Amino acid sequence: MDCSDEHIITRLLENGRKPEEQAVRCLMHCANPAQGVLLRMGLQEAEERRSLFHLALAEFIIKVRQGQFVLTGMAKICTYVTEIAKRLWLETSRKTRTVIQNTPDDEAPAPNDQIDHLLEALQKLSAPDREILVAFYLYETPLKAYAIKNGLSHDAAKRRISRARERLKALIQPDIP
Amino acid sequence: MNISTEILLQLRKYAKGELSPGERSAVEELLSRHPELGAELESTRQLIQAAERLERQRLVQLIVEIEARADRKGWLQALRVAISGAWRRFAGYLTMPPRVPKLAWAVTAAALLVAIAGYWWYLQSSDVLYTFEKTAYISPPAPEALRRGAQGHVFANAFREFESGNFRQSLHLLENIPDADSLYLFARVLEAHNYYRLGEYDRAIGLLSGLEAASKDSAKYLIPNPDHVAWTRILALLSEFNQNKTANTKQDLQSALDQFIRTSENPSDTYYRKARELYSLLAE
Repeated sequence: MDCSDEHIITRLLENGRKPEEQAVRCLMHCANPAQGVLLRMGLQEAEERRSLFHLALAEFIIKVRQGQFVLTGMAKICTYVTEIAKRLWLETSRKTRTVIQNTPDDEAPAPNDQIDHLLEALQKLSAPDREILVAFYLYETPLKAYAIKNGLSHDAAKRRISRARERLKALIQPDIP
Repeated sequence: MNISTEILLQLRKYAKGELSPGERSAVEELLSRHPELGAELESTRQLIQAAERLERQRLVQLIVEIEARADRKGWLQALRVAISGAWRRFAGYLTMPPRVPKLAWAVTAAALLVAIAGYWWYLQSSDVLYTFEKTAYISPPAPEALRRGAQGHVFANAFREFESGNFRQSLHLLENIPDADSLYLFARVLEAHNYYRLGEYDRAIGLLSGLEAASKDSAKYLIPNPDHVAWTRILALLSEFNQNKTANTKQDLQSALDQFIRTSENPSDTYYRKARELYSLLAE
């Protein structure tokens, strides 16, 4: 399997589960260097290192699809993923420190209930509805491009997003007609 | 106000701070003319965050699945390497001039036996679906009533027999539980487990399908832990498929699995994760 940086990026930008899985399989090669760096930074728990690496990979994939990662001769994917993992670890340890300092006098910030609620509703939607909302709001995929990728007409894509939004609203506010 | 996709697009770009100053003021003017769009802007902001979290969760789940698959393949690879290494060493030994012929024959025979056993084990374990079937079974949980002390109940005895591996005896006891009994539905689930453990998959599947159907038709038959019931039926279908390997058994299994994944009550629990894993294995 070709696991060059170019190949990974191409696979990530293709449509469908198979190329996505191939890209993730290639990205797993970054596991050892990234987790090694986390270990040197003091993250002793192997399971925690693994989870953090998974989160870093997920963030990297999202960045690629949002067009925020540009492959140059200098930027190697594994280095980039490792940097994300390092940042996530620093953020986590900083948050932990803050919570410890603030307890018990200060109250922890209230969880963002509305976003949790929205997330639950998104999970209840059908896969095509979820996909188009993620494509539009997260990846900023133009509707024309989405339509071509999924074999739809432009109008059909417009109708799909509008229906997905309606269904989402109905799930969030079931009592409002 | 009917919101067109063009307005949605502008709101999304505004929320992400991607507009030029001119475009920003145009959107702000639109917002001042139509105050109801303010709520839409806020929900766009929230939707962007929620979509990111959703996608992150999906990707992490995919990564975990792929990692688990790679781990399994890694073990098989290691075993193959170990066997081929041992074989090379053994072949080297055979080509050496015989110093103690009797001992050489004994070692040859022993190695041959080990190789045959290893090969048999490899054949068994290389069928990932077979391995999955052996490891994915989840015993029925004891009902709360048993834990609270309904120890003298005939169900308690049947449960004990089941746990001791006396499945026929357990079935015999379960026959005596009438349908008016509060543990009747637990008894039927346990009965299906007994059939499953006895290898009578047809009967287990029939019983569990009947329970699921009755539960949909009538509130009187609300089965305890529907995911557990559905998962046990899927395993029985998998066992049938592993035994027969026909297109029909595969189709039955796939449709049960599809339905389970679509309707599972809790997509983060063990049953759901196992179902996703099985789904991927079947797709391979």
